[in-house]
Amino acid sequence: MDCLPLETGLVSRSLEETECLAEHFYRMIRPDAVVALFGPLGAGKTCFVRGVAKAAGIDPVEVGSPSFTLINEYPGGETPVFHFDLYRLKSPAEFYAIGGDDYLNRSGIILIEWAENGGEYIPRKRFNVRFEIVDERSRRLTFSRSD
Amino acid sequence: MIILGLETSCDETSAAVVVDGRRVLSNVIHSQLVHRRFGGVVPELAGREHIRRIVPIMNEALGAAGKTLADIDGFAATFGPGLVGALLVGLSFAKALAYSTGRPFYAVNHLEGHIAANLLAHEELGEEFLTLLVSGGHTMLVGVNGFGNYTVMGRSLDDASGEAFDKVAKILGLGYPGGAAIDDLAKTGNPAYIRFPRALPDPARIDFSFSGLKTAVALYVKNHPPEEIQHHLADIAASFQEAAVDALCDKTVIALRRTGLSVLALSGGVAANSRLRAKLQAACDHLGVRLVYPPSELCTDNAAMIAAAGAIHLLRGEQSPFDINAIPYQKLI
Repeated sequence: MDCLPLETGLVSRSLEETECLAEHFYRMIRPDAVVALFGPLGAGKTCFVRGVAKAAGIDPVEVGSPSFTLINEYPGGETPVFHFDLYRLKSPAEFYAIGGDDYLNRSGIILIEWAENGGEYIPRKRFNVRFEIVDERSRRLTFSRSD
Repeated sequence: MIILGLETSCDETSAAVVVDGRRVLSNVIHSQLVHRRFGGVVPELAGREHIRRIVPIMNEALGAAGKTLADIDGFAATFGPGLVGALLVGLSFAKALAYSTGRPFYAVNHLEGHIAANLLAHEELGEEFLTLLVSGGHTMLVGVNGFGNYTVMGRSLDDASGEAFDKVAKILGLGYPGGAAIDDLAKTGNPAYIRFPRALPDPARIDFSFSGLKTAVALYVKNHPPEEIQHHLADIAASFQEAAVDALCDKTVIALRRTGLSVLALSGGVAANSRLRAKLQAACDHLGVRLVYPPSELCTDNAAMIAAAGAIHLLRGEQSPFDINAIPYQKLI
């Protein structure tokens, strides 16, 4: 993580570049990492998850948006990937209502879209990735770590 | 054969009583629509809420059907795909009912339930048709060659079609549920106002993609003054809907041509969209294909379709073991 520019962030110029960045990110994190993803609709969060899953050896075709189902599980790689999407949550308490806390003790990488909707239920020890829309194709990704 | 079905794969808690897999005696769905004025699901998203709702919902379904548990010949419940904590409630409950009454039990794939919805709605329907499943969680084209024999011809590579409608409705500041809000508003708009991208135009591919369309609408709104967006809200909604419906129609026509199937069965919550129905009807008329879709209570997630699918398997003498688990990432085949 320390080799990534934390302040300025990185600019991805396409969906493919975002996916590629995510593949590199995967190689820098432990197989039990929690990753919170922040950014507006269409900023590339699901695309980033696809890249991480791909790097973990999961068929990227399996990665879809869990906005409706809230949590997608992708087994079959070298480490399981749990893909949360808290877009529909109206209050952090709903994170418990959907059984989100059950996943926090399971082994696997947890990626959480719209993590801000999970409030205090999201583990403090985690990586944060912020997505900004620069223009039609470009997105700025800023990485940080919190404990 | 009277089957009690339970469905708890996502937000809806539903119980239904169905006879011979063909006739619905009751179909009770704990609907979120009553909460529309709050702009979403209140008090909480389902998941663990299913535990509180499942017994009263089942009793309501039995009461509405004029039956008691003693009249039930078998039980069916969804085992996947869905949210694991949600699936477990209906599945465990149905297993317990079957175990304690000594009646057979079948664990139903939610996606097969959506296919069974049209068999339930159209008694005369044969078992060979193309299903276009369009909902908040799924978008796929499935060739049905006899119940249980499926070919997945295409699926969404990212967002489901219903999800695209909901998210665009939110971007445009429309109400909940988003699908109905866009459908209504689009009726007064110009569908040719903006040409939003049609994803994956390559006719060799039958898969769908709605993420790029959602992003295109978000960027359009971001790059235009709010007054202009407000003034043209209906035009933007209609233009988005046209792009989404075109993608669904184009790929469906390719699948119909490729399979030579003569019936198209529409299923899932987005099947209620009036523009989708109209455009598919026109395409089907042109191809000489019959278009069918279930009534709205069988389009959304519901237990009647699960009971119907379970009944077809149970009538064939197939049963599920009690150690079957919920599988959140279960595929159709």
